[in-house]
Amino acid sequence: MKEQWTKQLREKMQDYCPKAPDDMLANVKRELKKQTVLKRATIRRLTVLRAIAATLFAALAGATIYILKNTTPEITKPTANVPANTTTNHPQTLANQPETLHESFTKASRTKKELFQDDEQVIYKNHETYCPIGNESLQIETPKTEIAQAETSQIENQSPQSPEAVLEKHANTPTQNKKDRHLPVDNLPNIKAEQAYAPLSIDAYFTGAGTINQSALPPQYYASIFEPENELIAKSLLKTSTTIQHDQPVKLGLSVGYPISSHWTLHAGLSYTRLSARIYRSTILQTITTKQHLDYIGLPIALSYTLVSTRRARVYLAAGTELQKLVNGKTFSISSENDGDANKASETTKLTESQLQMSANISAGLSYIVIHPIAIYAEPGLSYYFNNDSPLQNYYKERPLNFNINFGVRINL
Amino acid sequence: MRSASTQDKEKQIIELFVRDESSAMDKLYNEYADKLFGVCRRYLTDYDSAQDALQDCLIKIFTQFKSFEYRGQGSLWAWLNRIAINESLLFLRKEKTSAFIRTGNELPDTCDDEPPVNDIPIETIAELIRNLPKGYRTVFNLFALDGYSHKEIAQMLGIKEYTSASQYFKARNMLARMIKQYRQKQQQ
Repeated sequence: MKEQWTKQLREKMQDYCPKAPDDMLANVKRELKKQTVLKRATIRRLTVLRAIAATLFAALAGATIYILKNTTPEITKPTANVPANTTTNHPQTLANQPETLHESFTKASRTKKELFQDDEQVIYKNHETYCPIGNESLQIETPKTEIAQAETSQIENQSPQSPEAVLEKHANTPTQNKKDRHLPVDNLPNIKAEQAYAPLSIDAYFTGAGTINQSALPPQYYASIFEPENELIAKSLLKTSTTIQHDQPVKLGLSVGYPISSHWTLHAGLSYTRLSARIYRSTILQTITTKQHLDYIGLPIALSYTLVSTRRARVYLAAGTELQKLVNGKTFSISSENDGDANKASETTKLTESQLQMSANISAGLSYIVIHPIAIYAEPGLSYYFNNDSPLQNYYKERPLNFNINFGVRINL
Repeated sequence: MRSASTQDKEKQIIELFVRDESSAMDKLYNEYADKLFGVCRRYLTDYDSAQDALQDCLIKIFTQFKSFEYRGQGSLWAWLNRIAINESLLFLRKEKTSAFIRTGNELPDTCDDEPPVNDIPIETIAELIRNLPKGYRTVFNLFALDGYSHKEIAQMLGIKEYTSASQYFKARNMLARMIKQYRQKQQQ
């Protein structure tokens, strides 16, 4: 009986055709035209952005390759290991010295020579040809451990001595740690430490970025996280009153820095980022709270340039790019009905994303050696996350350009 | 004959869209715009909202027509109807009226007999349906008039199946009482 009544109603209402507004079709056509123009502009803008990103990446890669090919380190590590009890004074016996010391002297005949020590990282530059061994005096000094002292040393003012006297003096000098030795040549110009050569390093870092914010969810978001056959569900949720709160992204990373010249260092590594958000959504009959977690694994690559370096501290600029991939994503929803029913339903949904997330980063960094070889560093900087047309709504989409600070520990090898 | 005529019309419209003819939109509009507007008016109390919903519905139809697959007679209208319902549901969120009318104990909870509806004008029935509370109206339209099951409605609206059944039961009773009251007024 009741079904019959419902059926009658249904059949009657099938003929319900109120007159549509007269200008409806014209309005629709006008709106379609606007959308076509907007779509073309969006496609053009996306193409330009992608071209810029690709160009930047290619330029960075090209610069890296060019620097790697053309830059040859000119630093000769002193490996002098003169025995403490050496008594031979003849210059020629220098040739009988341990090979490393001999090699160091022979290398002095080159146009340029740079010597450095591990700890102090002092570099002496000589733009004049060294005198061959035996023709001019050599002076071996007790090394200074402080770079400040090295910077003010005035080697050219020291009085010349005969090689024999020098060697004898050296023989009588208490054995020094070979790391503490340096070999200035008599006729060197004023010498001062110009820069520190960054060693190979391993970094472990943590990034803090942004703040919690709240925003309305874009209309297409929920459409993308449902199965295609639930098209009706997705569409019924579009344009609903929805707000999303993003939590501060948490990023941890490990990277290796390879020095390619005295100023430039190439960094590459691995990163993990967790993006969390809370979504509050009201439908016609209920309120739903959803927690969203997205885990990304990233491959960052960067180039850094050392501006200033002292014995313990280093200031540098860095620029790079990163590719991230979503490895784990899920939402957990709790719904409660608006009619006051206390019953709640919970649901977990897995999220996937086929697109890669690309970002470009620039930063300035300050590192400080706490205790060799461990240094701590901070890198405030800017990151821009390119739109990858992913249906997922995350912090990167909300704030593509954001300020962040990396804090980390660096181990110099 | 009538069904053949309907099928011919559907195929004609589809062909026009396939050939990208400029008259395709006009043809579809002339054939279905009023019916689509009727769907929107059933769900939305506000006339302007119904108008906006119809506009969005038509834009979506015209832009996504290429994704439509013809599956026999009536499939075109089924597809158009679904789009209109979806757009109406979106606009329902914007309506400021509350989901339910708190009637308390003024009206009995059940109605034993359903009054006849054959002699009542369509527009009147549509108006009475619009007077239902939003939640009742939505579920009633979806179940009684558009033929969705409670399971499908529950999935669409993000509610439980028993909630959908409960809402429909209350809506039907309320509508029956309203029709009865209308008939009583007409007889006076």
